Amino acid sequence: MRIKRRSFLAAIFKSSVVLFGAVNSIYSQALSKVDNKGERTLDQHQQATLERLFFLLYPFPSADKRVYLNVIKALQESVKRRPEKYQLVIQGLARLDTLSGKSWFTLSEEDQLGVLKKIEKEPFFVSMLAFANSHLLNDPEVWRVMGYEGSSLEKGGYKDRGFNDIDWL
Amino acid sequence: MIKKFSQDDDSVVVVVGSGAGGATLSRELSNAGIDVLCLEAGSPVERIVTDAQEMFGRLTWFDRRIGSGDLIKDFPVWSGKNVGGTTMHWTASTPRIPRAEFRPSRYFGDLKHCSIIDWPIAYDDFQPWYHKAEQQMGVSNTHGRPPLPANNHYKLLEAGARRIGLKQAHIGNMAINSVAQGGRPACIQLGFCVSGCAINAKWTAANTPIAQAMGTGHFELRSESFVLRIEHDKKGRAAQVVYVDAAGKLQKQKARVVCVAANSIDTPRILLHSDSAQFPRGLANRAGHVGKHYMKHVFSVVTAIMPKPVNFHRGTQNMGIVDDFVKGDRKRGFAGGFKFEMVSFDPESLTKFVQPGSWGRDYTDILSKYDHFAALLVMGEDPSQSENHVSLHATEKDQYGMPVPVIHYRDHENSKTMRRFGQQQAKRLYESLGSERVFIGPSPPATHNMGTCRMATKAEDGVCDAHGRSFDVPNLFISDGSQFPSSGSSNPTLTIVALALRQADYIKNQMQSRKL
Repeated sequence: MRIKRRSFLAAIFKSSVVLFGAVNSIYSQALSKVDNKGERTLDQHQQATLERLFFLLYPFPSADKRVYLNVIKALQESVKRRPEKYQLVIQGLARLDTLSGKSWFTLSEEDQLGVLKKIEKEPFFVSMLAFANSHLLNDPEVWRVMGYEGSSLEKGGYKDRGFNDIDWL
Repeated sequence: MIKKFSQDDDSVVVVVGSGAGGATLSRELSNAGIDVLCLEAGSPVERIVTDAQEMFGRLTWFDRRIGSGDLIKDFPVWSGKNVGGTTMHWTASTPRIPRAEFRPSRYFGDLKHCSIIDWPIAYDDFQPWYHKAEQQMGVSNTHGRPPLPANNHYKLLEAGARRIGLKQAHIGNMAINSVAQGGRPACIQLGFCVSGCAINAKWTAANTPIAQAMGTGHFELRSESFVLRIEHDKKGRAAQVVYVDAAGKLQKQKARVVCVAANSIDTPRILLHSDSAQFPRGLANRAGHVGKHYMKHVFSVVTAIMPKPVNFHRGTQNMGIVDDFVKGDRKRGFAGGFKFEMVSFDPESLTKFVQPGSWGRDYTDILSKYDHFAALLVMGEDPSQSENHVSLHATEKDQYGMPVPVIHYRDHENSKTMRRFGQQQAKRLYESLGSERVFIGPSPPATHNMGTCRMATKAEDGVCDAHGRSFDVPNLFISDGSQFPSSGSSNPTLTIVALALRQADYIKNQMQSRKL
């Protein structure tokens, strides 16, 4: 049994998680969205909330917005395969709204951050932080903004591409 | 023609593990006409790409291990599961253990709660083996081979060291080709050493000793073969090795000699799991030291944002060393020594060492300065403590039905003081060059694992003698870093290879004179 690297690393990242409590199955059924293929999906409100959440977790304003949409896409693929993760996500998103007293998405940035700070130790937040971390920090567009030049083999290494060009010491 | 030994062939030497120790031993013996079967838990690495996270996923030993004490519970150890073992991802740093560190009792002897013993091999007697290992690995900066060229990150480390009055910054001895040799090309500064060298400029157990053993006609490599147990005969001699094959079926292989080189977690694990009526505490464990005295080096990662770009991802990741603190000085407040070793990270890995768990704008402001980062490892000598140990979990089993290993480790007070001192010196170094911020990072998962089947002069003090031969089982050898009676302050692989070369000579002599 080959353990998937991403879920393994996410588990390590989440190693000091506070247990959230029992799942309310009726409540979660009301939140569940199933498309006409019978698969779990995230609706527009949930996606918009996630996009804002991922941006606030790792804001890279000079990166193309698609980097956050890519994380949502990956999350959608992930929750299709894993019912318990789907429940974690949709309940976590609902909790953001509950804590806000209205749609968290409509709050000011300061207030949005305030809500996030309240749930920092909870499984939903820890899981989304780990997920965003491994996806965003391996996105070539984020690399561009950070100044990481990425894969090297096909470019012949750095021997002729500035491996020793430091000039300010 | 691919060699295949019969499972009933009891004339073969069975080597468990194809890492630095197992592969070197396999090549030496098969080259001398001795039949060797190497059982390797992992698979051959098919293709290496310059993508750090992708390769981490492919090279790493992910079988469950439980960390206890000061270790990360779910991932206490970072080793490799593939043909070539941990050398597939290693940094290729190949320093020798210095003379003084062969006698740790002279400076660690008065530390409380320790189990310090000296090496049972004299430093001078061991030098020819280091020499041989350096030649076989093509170590740069030794025996006429040029050093690797200085990259930006090294120039920065060296400049900072000079600024704070240090005199022993150097490029380092690396098992990475500075010139083409051994049928492998010279380094082109890919910058992904730790992800596996895509062009094989870096020596690995797979591209050198295993490849060479294959050409002898006396060697078989059985990969995806997970060893569970070593069984012995009525005389107490190792007789056969029990393993799970690639199809998940239990297999038994007879052996004339068994050499265990499964790294310092799984070597004791196999022996503990091989208990019997004659060896109730585990095979080769009459004195009770199997699994004990686990050492991993005192580690810390210190990173800094420099005032201008460094681009530390460009080129060889770990070839800068500062040795000024290797020689111990009690006036510092601790015994023993440490070195600085340069280290670079891909973006995701960087977040594990720079304020891990952080998020938000302040954090991405830091990450957006990626190309201004510099980093180093503080790597120090770890005094052996018998309570730091590997054991079998009482109830948890892995996918093969074998008890999950538990690794318990607590820092000694000496190590805590050493680490703090090292961190402060690293901070001074970066601040001398105008760093904007310095971050003290956590200890990474242990990549240097040593001591769990240690060699000793006397049977009551260890598991094996100065040749790695078990005191209890005459045809059983320990052939990896488990043998180390002390950790020294050096990366272990060169010493593991040198020990394997020396052990191979001994085994050859013993077999030729029918004493084995």
